[in-house]
Amino acid sequence: MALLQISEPGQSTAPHEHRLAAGIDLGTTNSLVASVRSGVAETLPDAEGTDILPSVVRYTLEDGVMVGACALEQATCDPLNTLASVKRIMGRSVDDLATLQGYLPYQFVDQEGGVPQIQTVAGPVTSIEVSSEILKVLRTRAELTLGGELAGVVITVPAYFDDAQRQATKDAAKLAGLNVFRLLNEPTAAAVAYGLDRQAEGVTAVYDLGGGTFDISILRLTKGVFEVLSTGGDTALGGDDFDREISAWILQQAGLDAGQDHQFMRKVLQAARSAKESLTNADETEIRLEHGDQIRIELRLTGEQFERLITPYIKKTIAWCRKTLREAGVEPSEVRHVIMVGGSTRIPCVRRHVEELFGQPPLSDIDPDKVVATGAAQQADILAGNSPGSDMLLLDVLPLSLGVETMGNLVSRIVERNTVIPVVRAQEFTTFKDGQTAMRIHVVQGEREKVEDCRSLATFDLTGIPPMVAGAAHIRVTFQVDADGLLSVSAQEKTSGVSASVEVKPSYGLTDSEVEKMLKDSFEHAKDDMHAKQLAEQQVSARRVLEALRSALEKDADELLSAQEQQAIGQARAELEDACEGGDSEQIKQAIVKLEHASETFVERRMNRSVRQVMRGHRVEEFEQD
Amino acid sequence: MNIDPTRNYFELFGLSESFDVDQEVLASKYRAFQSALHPDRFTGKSDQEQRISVQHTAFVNEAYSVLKNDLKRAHYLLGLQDAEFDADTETSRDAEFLMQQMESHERVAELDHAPDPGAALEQLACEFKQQQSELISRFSTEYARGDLDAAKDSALKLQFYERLTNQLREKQEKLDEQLL
Repeated sequence: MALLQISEPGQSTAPHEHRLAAGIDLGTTNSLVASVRSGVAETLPDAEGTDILPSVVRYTLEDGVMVGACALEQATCDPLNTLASVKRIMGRSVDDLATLQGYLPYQFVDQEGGVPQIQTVAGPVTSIEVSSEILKVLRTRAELTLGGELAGVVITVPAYFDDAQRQATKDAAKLAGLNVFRLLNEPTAAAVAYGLDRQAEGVTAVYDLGGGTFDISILRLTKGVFEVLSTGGDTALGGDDFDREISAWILQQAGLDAGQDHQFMRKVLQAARSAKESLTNADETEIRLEHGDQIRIELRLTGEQFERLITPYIKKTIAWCRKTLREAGVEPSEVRHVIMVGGSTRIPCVRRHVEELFGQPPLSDIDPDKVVATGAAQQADILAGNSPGSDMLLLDVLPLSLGVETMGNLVSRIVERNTVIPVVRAQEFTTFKDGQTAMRIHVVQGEREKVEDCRSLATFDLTGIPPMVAGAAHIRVTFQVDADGLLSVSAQEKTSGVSASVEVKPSYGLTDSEVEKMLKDSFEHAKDDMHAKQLAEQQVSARRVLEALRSALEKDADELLSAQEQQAIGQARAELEDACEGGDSEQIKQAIVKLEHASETFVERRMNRSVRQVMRGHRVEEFEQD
Repeated sequence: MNIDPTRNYFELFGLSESFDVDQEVLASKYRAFQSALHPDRFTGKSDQEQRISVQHTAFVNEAYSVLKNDLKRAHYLLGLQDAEFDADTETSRDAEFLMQQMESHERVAELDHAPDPGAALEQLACEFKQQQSELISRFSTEYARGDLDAAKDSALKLQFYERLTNQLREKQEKLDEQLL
């Protein structure tokens, strides 16, 4: 018999709604999706029972887009339409490709600047679109398994990803129709997976060697709070490099040159990869390879030879570890736990080097391929509000310094790397000429002094500066980095108080309108679909706003608002409720803006009260639960 | 409106306005602020609440980063007494100290020629650290007794050690790379 639920007086009558949430590890080689079910975070398998989805997308004329193992199988016979490792070009410019192209056997569209496009039989695609195909498959898998629409996801990115790479990842999620709760650094996700299981306290190092990237992060865990102390790494170093080293060795031993033969090169790479994998548990392995009538290769690769090939790369990672430890102000001996992430950490020689540095065997009892997705799922569950008792909090840092271009192509630092985010910094600029009304600010990310040695992120065009004599206008430009590590810029002229309008031109990414256009294009043949989707989206945000406000008003309206103020909010609230009943998404959108405006003071008063309560030393729990 | 941007960092953290700060109290108060204000606590809430949360958290982060760092805290305290200095243009006028600094820089430059650069670097780092902590306690006393001129001079001197430490770190990185 069903029991009647009776709520306490004054409490919400709506039963606590479990919101579906998932963690996604969008990897260079493989991707996974995980979710917390019955209190346990686990990766979700596809219909065949396989958890790992190869990050491979194949574009065809007849069968549409194929993703995962079925695409990977065709990699050898259809190399140019089968795209793997696109994470390596996420957020990269056409110019960046010069250094990467040798490793990526795709045909890039000949273009000047902008987001690089890869030529396929189905037309040109960007890495953002390719990634969104992978995300769509994971989204469908999660929604089928969990039995409903996802309220939101946490997607992991390498800690070392710059702003352009993070933005590209978020755009891919948007294209896949996902609501991103948070972008989470992969090492932090791994620490969450271990930390929650073990209630570990102290300094933890996360060594993450994946297919295409290497990350090292130093974290401190104190009473449920994860603080990232420092992070370092190389976005172009990983297991793929080992495969290429073995491939080069194979070709050299066989006295061959793959030249432009993409098919042959794929075969060699595949042989190299399986040789690497079998050396995890064996001292030596056979490599057999046939291509056409002419080529037959039979070789024996020993563990020792393999180690000689990859040691330079591992030493590079160890140097990164030392550097990152120093930046955290931590000695290797102070590290309490070392966590291994990424398939490449299965290689015995990698583990040995790490153990040597930290003087202790690294932890690897959670599958190094699944640990990131598992941690992301736990964070997603908390952000969805499904575990109200949890006091876990992740404090992340900016991975690379932010600066602006100044005279002489020099960089003036605005925010130093390893600064805890969110961060807001203001900088004042002045005009150079009499009557100047516009100004261009070029933002770069990186540690070097010259602009050309850093990564160009975006130019911000400020217009609407009141005309004054040169040097008289004081334009206060505010740089804000949010909890996802993403930058936004606003500007105000100080003496007149006029806000300058800021137009962002990402150097390598897509502008917001381009993302919107892509979204629209994907619905191009189904206009009604588009409208329905927009309406549904607005209704969801309206409900979110109404629900958040309702519970806040119930608790604090009498304490913080006058009768008149309450009435104003009540009216805007009723308008939004009415708009929701109608079918006009634009009307709902406007009503949301109106309600948010009406309740601005209320929201601020509540937030300031929280600040006062912490200042007075109240326990956080007393006012945190909404 | 932000968290009041004119609010004194010490007041925010409930600390008395002095150089000597109990780092443990500071850190635990910081965690309490983060637990209440961090954007992760506002995921399902309105854009407005999320926006304000970002601003508040950023302010707390800024205050914390100043209070936990000796040099930044010293600089901030001087600013509270209108004795702020411009790190780019001002420097100590203590001739003897400046001479000693030049020597220190030369010693850093000569590290490359040492028979065992790693050990020599460690030795230097140790010396600098001691001189630095002497300056820090000097600043603390001077500031406490209200001798702002002296305190400012000590803070200016501390800047030199920041630079020396950075140089040593760069050297150390080069040494690490050479080991590869």
